[in-house]
Amino acid sequence: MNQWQNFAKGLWNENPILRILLGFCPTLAVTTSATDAVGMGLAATFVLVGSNTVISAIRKIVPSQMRIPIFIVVIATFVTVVDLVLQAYFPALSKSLGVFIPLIVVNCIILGRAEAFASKNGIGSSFIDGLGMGVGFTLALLVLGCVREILGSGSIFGVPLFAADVPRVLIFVLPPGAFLSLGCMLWLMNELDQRRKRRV
Amino acid sequence: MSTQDPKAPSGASAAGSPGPEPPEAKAPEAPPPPAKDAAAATAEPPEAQAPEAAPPQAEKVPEAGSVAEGIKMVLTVALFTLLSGALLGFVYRQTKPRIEAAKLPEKIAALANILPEFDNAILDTLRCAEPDGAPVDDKCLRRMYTATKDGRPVGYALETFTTKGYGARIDLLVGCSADFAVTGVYILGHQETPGLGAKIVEGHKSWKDAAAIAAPDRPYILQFAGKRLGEFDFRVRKDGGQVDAITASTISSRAVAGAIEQALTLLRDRTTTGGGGGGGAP
Repeated sequence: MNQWQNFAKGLWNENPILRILLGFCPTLAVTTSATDAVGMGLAATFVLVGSNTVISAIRKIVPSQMRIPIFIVVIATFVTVVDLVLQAYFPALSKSLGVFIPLIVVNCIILGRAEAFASKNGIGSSFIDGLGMGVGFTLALLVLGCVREILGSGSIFGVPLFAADVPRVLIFVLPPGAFLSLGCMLWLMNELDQRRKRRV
Repeated sequence: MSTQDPKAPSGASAAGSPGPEPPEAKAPEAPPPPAKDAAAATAEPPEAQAPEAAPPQAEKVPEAGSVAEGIKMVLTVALFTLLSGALLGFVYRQTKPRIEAAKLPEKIAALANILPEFDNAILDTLRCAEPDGAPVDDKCLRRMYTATKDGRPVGYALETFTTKGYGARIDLLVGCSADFAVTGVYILGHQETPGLGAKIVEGHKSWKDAAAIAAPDRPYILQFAGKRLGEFDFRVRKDGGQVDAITASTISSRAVAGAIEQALTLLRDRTTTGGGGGGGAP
């Protein structure tokens, strides 16, 4: 597998949200606006790339029984760095993402990639894998965030799209809207995939 | 061995049993199946080791091994925790001034909202209230601001915290008038349960909105408007006081009410006795 395929698998075939169905907690919770979705996506991408690279680098000196605690320490370190940096430089984003930034620690995607990929592959491949998965995660969040913000708040990245008297479908910025839009996205994804397979 | 393998899963799982042994599965007596399971479980390790028991076996070998192995594990974990701690300490130091600067606009807006109208540069009046007169640095627990208008003090604000909340500590700004009636409370930070204790922040930006304060269904925090020490019992009703707690969030409600009372006491002690009467507030 070349590095491009390694990167691209995170975008579609092994997309963490739409294919592996991991990391739903932030997916459902912070996609109320496109800005939050991108912020969460990028934060998680940074953590994924960082933890994948470090875990791959230390994979040979970590005793196998102790690997999970050590992986968690590495991941938690990156998450705390992200949290502090966001608080310092993007206070508004940090405030709206709130507790979901610290919660990246328990995002299954990150430990999942550490365990399934980074602990078995070289530093370069793990870096690319983390990047691909992170970008795939961000794109999925972005699509969901855009759909929910357009329908629920009538804006995109905070820019209003419709006149104020056009009714908004409030449910889309509420938790049920997250489940509805995510369900539709998964259905669409499977539909597209099956059509592609039928053609081939 | 190859005959033992398919047998073991069928004995353990209910799905496998219907085929060969339906009467046993239906039998009301509990003892036989567990006994069988136990027998299968104990019989399995010595017999079926080669094909499927290989991965767990591989993990067991070093565990049963030497003390050196254990020490190595402890040292590895200690090493990574140490490195992580060092890195985080560094990042924390680097970002701390920026984080405080980033919080400043919020604090200024909050002070304007929770205090009576003032015309001084309130941030310049910052001093440490606990420990009294200490330099304003990391060791200063509670800080106070004095609001003046035309040179006369019109109110005081205390930047304080409580550790009695349901989550981590709750940081708050308590403002009062020159005669120590609550003029506003702003929650700077908390980690109370979303949907329950987190309701302590509702309305904490509405202190200039008289209609919101007077409304019968006003948010929890607004009930403290105008309340004074001595005249108002800052305990929740459940404890015999006068504070209406947030439904299902008595701990958060109690913590905030207690912090407000403590803040008023401290502000009174620090201003009326000229700052000399310390030791009053626990």
